[in-house]
Amino acid sequence: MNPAKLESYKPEAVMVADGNKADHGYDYDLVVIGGGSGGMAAAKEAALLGAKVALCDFVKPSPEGTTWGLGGTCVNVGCIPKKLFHIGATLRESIQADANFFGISSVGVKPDEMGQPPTLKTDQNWMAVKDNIQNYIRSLNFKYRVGLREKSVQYLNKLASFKDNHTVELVDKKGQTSEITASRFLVATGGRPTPLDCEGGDLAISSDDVFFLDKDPGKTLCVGASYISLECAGFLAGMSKDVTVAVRSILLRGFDRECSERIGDYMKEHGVKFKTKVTPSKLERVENDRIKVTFSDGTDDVYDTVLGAVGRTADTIKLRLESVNVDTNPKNRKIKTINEQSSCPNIYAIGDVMDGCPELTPVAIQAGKALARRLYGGSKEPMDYINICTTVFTPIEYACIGLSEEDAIAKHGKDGIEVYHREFLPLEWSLSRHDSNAFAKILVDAKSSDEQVVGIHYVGPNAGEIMQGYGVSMKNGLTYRQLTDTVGIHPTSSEELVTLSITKSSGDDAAAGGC
Amino acid sequence: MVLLSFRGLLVTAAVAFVACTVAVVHGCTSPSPSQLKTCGNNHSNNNSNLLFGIRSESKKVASASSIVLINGISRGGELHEPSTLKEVNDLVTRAGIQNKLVVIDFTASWCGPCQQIAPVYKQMADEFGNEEVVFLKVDVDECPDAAAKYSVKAMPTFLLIKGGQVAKTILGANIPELKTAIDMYK
Repeated sequence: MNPAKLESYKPEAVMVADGNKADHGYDYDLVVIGGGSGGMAAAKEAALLGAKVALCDFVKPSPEGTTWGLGGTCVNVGCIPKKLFHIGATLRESIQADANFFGISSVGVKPDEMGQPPTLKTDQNWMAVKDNIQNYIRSLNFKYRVGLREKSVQYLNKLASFKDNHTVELVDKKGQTSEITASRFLVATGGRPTPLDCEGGDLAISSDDVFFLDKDPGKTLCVGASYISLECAGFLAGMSKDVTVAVRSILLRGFDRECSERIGDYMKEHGVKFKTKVTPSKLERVENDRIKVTFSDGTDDVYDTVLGAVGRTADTIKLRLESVNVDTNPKNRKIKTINEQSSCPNIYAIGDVMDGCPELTPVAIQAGKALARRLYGGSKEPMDYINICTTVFTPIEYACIGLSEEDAIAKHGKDGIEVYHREFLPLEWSLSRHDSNAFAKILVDAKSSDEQVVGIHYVGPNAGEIMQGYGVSMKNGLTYRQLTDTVGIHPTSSEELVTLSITKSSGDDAAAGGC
Repeated sequence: MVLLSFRGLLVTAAVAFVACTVAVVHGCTSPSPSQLKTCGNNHSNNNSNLLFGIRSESKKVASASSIVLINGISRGGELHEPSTLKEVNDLVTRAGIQNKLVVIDFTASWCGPCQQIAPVYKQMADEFGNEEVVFLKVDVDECPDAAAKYSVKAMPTFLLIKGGQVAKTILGANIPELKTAIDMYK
């Protein structure tokens, strides 16, 4: 039997009886706390399956006072605005770098003696971009309210906290309190940015604020080497801001080292400054509303904006989980669960607030739907958290699925892994950018009989679009032979993945030759 | 004394003239006798009117009737902007008793087309609001209960309500269709 098939064999989700019965007599069958990706998906799926559902969503303002509408982190201060800003910045960079090579110039401008039009000069207006993106997000907030209404989910714009395991207290924005009861609860409150803990750390903004800034951020310091810090630094630099990233140790902890370094190198080549092995030790307000930052190595500099992106903390502090005996992980305050069920049987948790859940919107959505089906649809299927593709939207994008090279070596041993890799120049950059390379690598279990693929990595343009299809094959036990037997689409960057042949162990040059 | 007051009149008239030319938006046509009468009644400074007979006509709306703002002052119409469902219900009920048509513009601050047609809708309300038609404007974020009651899904949505019942729904910033519907149901 194919070992891959054994690994992906899913046992049934064993749930602890939570006492739910049809005539429970409570106000609702299910109360969902948190109207983000996971909460809304679970609420709508449960309602679809006949449950009477209420969803409580309330945004506590950030320290800067920023707040937003229904939809959670992804829609308001995460994936959606991040990707739109990334698209905007990439668009501007591309116009500047590529337009003249394709003969595009401003109307009326004469080409030079060689027939080349001059480089298009670009300007990017922060307020215009920000306003347009914000208007789009607010239309999404409205769409989600309509969505809940249409699925008969009661939407309550109130802050919920547990009184006992069948009762929550609600507070609205005017401070008025009320109570509702339910047979079951689902906590999907996600997380919030961890503040900087140095002196003057409150002068820094976070990802909760950066997409709403009502003035141009100007010269910016991004503190942290998480994907949030690098993505924000990336689009700000792409919009011609003067950007510095302060890194304590390594870039993108948890991700493949080689790919993370390539992202860092690309960002450096494109004007982002990196201060390594430092943390900010003091922030202070100076004239013109700027911030002077003193670093742990004694250096200092003045910035218009400091963005703290050093991590996220689970938003469980106001829930009063102690009153309902829900166990949390003391390190990160996340709720400990087995099959999304907490230590209190009728209280469930999904998404970023759940310990061990990859902090990704589609994971929360899928887990929410799967849980609703188990609670109200008679399903026994657990959520599968293995082999989830993800993409980092830094200026050069990075998509991956499966194990990093480090994790693969740790699991299979250095001799147990074969690495196939290739560095290449994407066609879209071939006219204008000869110094920027994309990179593809796959990791294969050398000891398996059919060279099972255990990790796929791609650093280059359109990474997210490229990786999705490979995710399907990985979940179904993809082998190296199956991959390379697939005829590539030409000319694309994705075809590099199905034509990988050079191994790291051979020592051959991974740089691409001609067509 | 007479000289001073005459100069005073000239200055006032000049100021009024400047103010009126500023109020002219686009395309002037010659005034009709009825407009002369309304203008006199509405404008506070009668001297300037008699001296110059200044008229202004606003931008023509792409529809059947033209809307006239005489020297920037409305003809008594009103655009109601209720902020609670109760206020909306009260306006609809009262209009129903008076057998008036109610038009509700469901709008949102983040909706481009809504912002574009806002001045046109305001002009319609200024022109013939409160006579046979009661004009309402409801912001779906400020008054989500009203948006929910009328199942508003997209903006702008115009509802025409007669006798408490929704007679017609128009989706999108379609002013000609709105005008036709108003003429039909009022």
